[in-house]
Amino acid sequence: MARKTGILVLASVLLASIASICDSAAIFNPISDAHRSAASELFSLSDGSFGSLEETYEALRTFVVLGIEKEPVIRTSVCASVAETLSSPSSALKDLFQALRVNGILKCEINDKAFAEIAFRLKDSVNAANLLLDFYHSIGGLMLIKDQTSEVDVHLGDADRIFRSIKALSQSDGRWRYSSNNPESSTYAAGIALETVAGLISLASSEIDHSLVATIKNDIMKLFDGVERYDDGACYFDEKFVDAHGHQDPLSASSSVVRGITAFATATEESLNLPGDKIMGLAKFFLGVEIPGSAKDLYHQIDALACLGNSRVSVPLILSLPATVLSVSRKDQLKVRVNTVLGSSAPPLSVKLMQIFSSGSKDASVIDQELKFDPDHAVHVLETLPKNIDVGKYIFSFEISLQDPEHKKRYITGGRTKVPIYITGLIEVNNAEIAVLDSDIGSIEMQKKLDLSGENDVALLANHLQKLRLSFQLTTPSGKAFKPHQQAFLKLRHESGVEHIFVVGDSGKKFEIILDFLGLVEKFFYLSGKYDIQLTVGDFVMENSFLRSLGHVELDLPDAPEKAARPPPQLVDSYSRYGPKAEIIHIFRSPEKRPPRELSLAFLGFVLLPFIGFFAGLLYLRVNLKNLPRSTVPATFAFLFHLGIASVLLLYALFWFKLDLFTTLKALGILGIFLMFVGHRTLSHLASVSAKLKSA
Amino acid sequence: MGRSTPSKDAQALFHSLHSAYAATPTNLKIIDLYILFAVFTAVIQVVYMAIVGSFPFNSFLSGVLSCVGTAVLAVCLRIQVNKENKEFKDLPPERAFADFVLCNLVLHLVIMNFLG
Amino acid sequence: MAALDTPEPSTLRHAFGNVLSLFILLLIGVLAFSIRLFSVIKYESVIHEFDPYFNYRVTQFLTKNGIYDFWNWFDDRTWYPLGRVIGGTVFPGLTLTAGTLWRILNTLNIPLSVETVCVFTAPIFSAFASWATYLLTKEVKGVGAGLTAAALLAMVPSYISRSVAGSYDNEAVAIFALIFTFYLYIKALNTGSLFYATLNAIAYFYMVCSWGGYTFIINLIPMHVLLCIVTGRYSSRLYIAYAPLVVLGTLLASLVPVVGFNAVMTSEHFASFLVFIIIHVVALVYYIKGILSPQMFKVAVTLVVSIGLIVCGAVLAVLIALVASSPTKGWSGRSLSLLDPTYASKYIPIIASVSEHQPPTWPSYFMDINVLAFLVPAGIIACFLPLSDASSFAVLYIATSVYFSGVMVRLMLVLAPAACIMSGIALSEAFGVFTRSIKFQLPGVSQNSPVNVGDTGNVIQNDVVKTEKSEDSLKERPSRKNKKKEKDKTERASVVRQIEKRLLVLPLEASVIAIFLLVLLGAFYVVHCVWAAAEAYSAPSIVLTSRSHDGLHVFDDFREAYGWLRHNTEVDDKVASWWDYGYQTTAMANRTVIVDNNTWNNTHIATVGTAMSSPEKAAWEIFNSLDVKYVLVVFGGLVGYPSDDINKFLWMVRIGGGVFPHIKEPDYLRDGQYRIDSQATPTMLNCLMYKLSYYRFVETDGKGFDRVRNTEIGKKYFKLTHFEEVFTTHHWMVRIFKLKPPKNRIRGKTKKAKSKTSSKRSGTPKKNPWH
Repeated sequence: MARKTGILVLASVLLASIASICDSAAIFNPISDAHRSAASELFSLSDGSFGSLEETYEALRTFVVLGIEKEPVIRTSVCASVAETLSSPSSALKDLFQALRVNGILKCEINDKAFAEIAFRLKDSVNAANLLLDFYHSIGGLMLIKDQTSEVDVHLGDADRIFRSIKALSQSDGRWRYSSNNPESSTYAAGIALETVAGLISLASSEIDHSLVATIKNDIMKLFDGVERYDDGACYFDEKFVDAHGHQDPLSASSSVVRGITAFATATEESLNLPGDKIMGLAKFFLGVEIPGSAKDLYHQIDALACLGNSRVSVPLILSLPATVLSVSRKDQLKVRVNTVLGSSAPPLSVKLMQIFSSGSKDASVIDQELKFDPDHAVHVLETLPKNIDVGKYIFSFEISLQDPEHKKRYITGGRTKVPIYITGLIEVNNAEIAVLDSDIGSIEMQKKLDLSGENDVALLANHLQKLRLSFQLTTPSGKAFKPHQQAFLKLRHESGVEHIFVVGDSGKKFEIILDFLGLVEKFFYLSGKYDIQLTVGDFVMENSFLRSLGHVELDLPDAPEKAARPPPQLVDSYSRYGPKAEIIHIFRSPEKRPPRELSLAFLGFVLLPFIGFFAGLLYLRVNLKNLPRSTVPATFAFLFHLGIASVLLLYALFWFKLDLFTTLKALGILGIFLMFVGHRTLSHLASVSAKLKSA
Repeated sequence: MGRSTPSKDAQALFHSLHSAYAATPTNLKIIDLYILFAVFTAVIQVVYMAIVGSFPFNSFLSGVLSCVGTAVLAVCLRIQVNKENKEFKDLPPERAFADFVLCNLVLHLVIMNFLG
Repeated sequence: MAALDTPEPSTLRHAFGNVLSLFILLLIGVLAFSIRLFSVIKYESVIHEFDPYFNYRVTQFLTKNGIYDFWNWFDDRTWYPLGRVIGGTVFPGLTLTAGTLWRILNTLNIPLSVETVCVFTAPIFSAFASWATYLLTKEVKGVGAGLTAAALLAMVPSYISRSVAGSYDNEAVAIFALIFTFYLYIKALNTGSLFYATLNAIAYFYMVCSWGGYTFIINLIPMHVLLCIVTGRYSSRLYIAYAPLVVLGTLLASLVPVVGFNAVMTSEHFASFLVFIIIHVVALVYYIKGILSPQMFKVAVTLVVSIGLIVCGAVLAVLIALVASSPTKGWSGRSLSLLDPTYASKYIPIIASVSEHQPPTWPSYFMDINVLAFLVPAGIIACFLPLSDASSFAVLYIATSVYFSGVMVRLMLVLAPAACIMSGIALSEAFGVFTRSIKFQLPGVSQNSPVNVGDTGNVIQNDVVKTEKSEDSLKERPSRKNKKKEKDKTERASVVRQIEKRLLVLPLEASVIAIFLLVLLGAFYVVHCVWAAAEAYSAPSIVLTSRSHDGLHVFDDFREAYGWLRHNTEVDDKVASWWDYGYQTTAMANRTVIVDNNTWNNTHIATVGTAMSSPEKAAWEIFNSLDVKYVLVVFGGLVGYPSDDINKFLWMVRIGGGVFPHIKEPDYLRDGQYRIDSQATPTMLNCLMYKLSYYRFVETDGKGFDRVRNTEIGKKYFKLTHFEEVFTTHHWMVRIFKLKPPKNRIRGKTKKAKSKTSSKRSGTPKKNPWH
């Protein structure tokens, strides 16, 4: 368990330090196989299709960019739905657009007649449209048709008018509106609008006058002025507008803008000179997302990166490192790889290591050293690390310089790239010793040398008047004193499980700790006995971090006074702490003890005895029933009377067994009336008889 | 001597008691028998309670009280139908019996309810 | 009625007597009912102060869910988080009565709301009570006394105070049950019929259902029996009246859940068992005495008595053992405070804190049973003239009830019927004597016709005039009645009695004047009663009125506040207030309360008291731990409503301090004197109750003048940190505060966020969330 804690500490410290580095510089790796696997996971086929045509398109597009072969699986079914959508005259503009997009990838066989009809529809919808999305869908559709067949004529007549009506939706800050009647301007819409305009320009039968195009370029400039920036150089377009189909996050917004500008740039053969660092920043932003969680995000990321990657505006080049942790002990070499965002290889270029910032101090050692290109691995290699590099954390800053001058126009390198590098090495531990001192004069009672590289088991004796001293030295491979970020910990563990952890202080060149037990008896809860000693030393650049038990020390401490703090209960291992707790046992009232059965039965018998005695007594008294009325009518009444009483008693028995109070009372009422009547008759008859007897 | 007289008195007393009681009419004797029966049942229940403890207290209570109650009611009946009793000359024994029956019915209704 | 009179005069007078007394009883009932309607006329048909609201709520539940759900109803709206088992802890008599009344009315298609039925239950039962009084007194001292006593009871103020329309409380029916039980006991005693004994037991059952005061009966009757035995008045009728009552009554009483086995376990009831045994022994003795010749009996006595003594001793030992074993010697706090008047104030502050548990003052005697106080001694003397079992019972009753009423104010209620009976007897006797003397002073006057005419005229008058006037004439009615009755007596009386009557004849003028004075006395009593009913006792302390120079003001703040709670808070919010308002809150606002008026858990109440008397933060913690959302305080300082929380505050401190010793009463008293002005102690000025009561009070008038305490408050300007005012009624009588949610303790985080936003404004780039 002690080991566990030690490792935990190490790990946490590592994380913390990495985080602390990242805010200064960061690495962006180009698209890799991780994306491909992620894509094939995220775009999972649900019952043989991707759902709607739009999702299908996004999936297919992502696969195309990433070069994954998925088409044959779904081709037939998707083509069916595409054909169905395209042929049906009632399908909406949006669906037509999506269908055409999918078709653009799948190349299903659609006869030109259908295309012609659709083109016709799209055209007059273009002329009728006043919403941005309508323009987008129709013009985009026409574009796609144009790409897919050459027979159908898709050229638009009065391109200028359409252009103006689209332009009317643009805002002063470069954003666009979805429709002329809502003032909300949106970045996403800007991307769509640019795409639309690009399509319009390429569809226009006649040349569109340059003033309009210039205004559009002006808008793009304005749009780029409003770009947001992260501290690691990543740029993105934020989206404040919340529309009917929800808030567009920065990812989708900026990807749509990227789509738009690339389309625009391709449409108008002239170069809109965008600031290179912003394009680079956008690329970094998309790459920084690494692998998004949702299919849509992945589509946006991949599509935008594709646009950037093979756009003819300016292709960002990404510098990435296979390994950022280099070990001096293993003599690792610094390798640098340069690709485009999509991971395709870069044109011939040279990488220079310009500066090295050491993590602790801001001073930068300037070295202008070119890395040697290794063509078969397509990496640039720095054979030997500079002399002044010791273990630790550094930030290397590289610069990419293209050899071919006209490449300079096409590619952007984004100036200097700063990369965090970790240099690790073996730290040697020497002249470690542990000693027990007498507190008053500090004279050494007993002293042991320790070999911290191997196992060792010392046995010490100390009382509360003495001190324990542990000291050792750490030196880096280049012989400097090593000062780990994470200090060294000394742990004393009592046999009863109570642990005490001390930080071994660092006095310039050596680590030393002195435990004065006199001051610690309180902290030790007056627990005398055997304490295991453990030493933990580690750092993320220290390849031989260790957690080693040094043996034990026998402490005899004074007895605890009454009010001394009890040692805390041992926190048991993490499972029983965080695992399921024991089920709560409910305490019910304990059932009262019941008498033994035979005893009860015996008493049941006893209860019968007086009854028998009663009858016996009756016989003894020679009781007779001659007082019962002879004549029939009173006799029946008397009989009924006794019957009634019997029935009431029976009712009571029933009440006891099942009935509830109220039904009983009802029944009792009826019986009572009957009983009263009958009883009255009987008793009055008896009374009259007795009266007669008296009178006689 | 000092011991003999009370014993003799006691014998005399019991003898006279017996003779006096022999004179009581039969129906009163029946009632007395009935009372004795009830009382003995009650006593037996109390003994049982003393042995096993009074756990279902309501049933114990209802058991004993039903016996006591019947006994008491019977005593009342006996008082009322007693010929020698001057106070109840005007009250016919049938009426007394009717009251007795009513009382018993009520009593046992309560007891059944209380028995749980 | 003159049509159906027979030629024979005495039977004629009999007929007259019965019909007339029937009429009078009817009118007395009407009077008893109508004199209690002042509250409805002056205010409206509402349930009155505190406990009635609980009973009303229980009745609603009963009528809605039926009796079986009612028996095992666990109420989670009160005593949060404990809850309360209503079915087992409430006296169901009143609720069941009103519920059945309502059901009957509905089956008769008379659609009255439950509330209306509850409001009018008390007057109806007071009419019953007056009839029961008539019966009881008739058993004791004849019809005339009965009528007088009934008339007196119909309007005795102390009973009115508990039974005006709308005060829907146990006493309303309990008094009727009490008197009726006594009547049946006396009846059974007089007739010696088992039938009445059974009825008596059943009436006793009803009493047990309706009021905790039933212990009074179960102790008084054995006392009477013992008295009879000791005074050698044992008769088999006594046995018949008593023995079945004990057996049946005990069984029936233990059927009531709230009493349960206490009916045989607690020593309030042991007296009856003891006497039960004694009476058996005595009965045996008498029986043997009856069947033995005297000289034999001499011998028997020695044995029997010795045996009896042994038995008694054994039983006594058992009883004492039981009592000693049972906690608090088997006596509940209230009954202990009956035996030892200083008990409550010493040990149980909650019992002492209720004003009606305090000993009464002399004015309250005069207020409650005005002239009766003077007539009672005469009544006692009259009871002794021929001492019968019944009259001895009456004497015993008055004696004990006087003692009890001296202990607790609320037991005036028990005294009132006794006083009415006694003074009824006294009045009728006095009238008897005087009228008899008048009659013998005027020889040769034909007695029948004027008297009859007078009677009939009187009756007709009584029919036409309504309550207000009939009360005056009511006084003469019983008197004339008695006159006639006495005449019947005298005529039927033998010559000897006539002669010896002549001996105690007073002079004519004296008796006339005396009668006049008596009538005056009665008139005064009537006036006082009407005044009391109209002014003193008919205020439903839920709606208040105050008469000022510019007319009548109505303060309906309580219902305003409860309505606010009902409509503006969540259904399961917990409202904390002092326990007086618990019942009203649950009934009218339908919100869960922490404590309420049945004070069964002292600790819980002490917790609330502690919270009220702690400083704000501590109070907030206490309330929060109780999951309280709102705190309700009643504050009279603005309109001068005297019984508000500040005046009750010392009791909160005492009760809280009784359980939590860190609350000390002296901290709230400036040299032994309770004040809230600038002289008050800082503890007082900082406690929650002060703050909640006087928060923003100074804004009403510039200086914060408290109309109840007649001082300016000590601390005028302060803020509430842990509570916020959410509602204050129109006259500030009820103020509701809400507990603020706990503060955010993540200061650093908020600061960071602020800096982040500011930095964004200043333009330095954000951290990339993706890394």
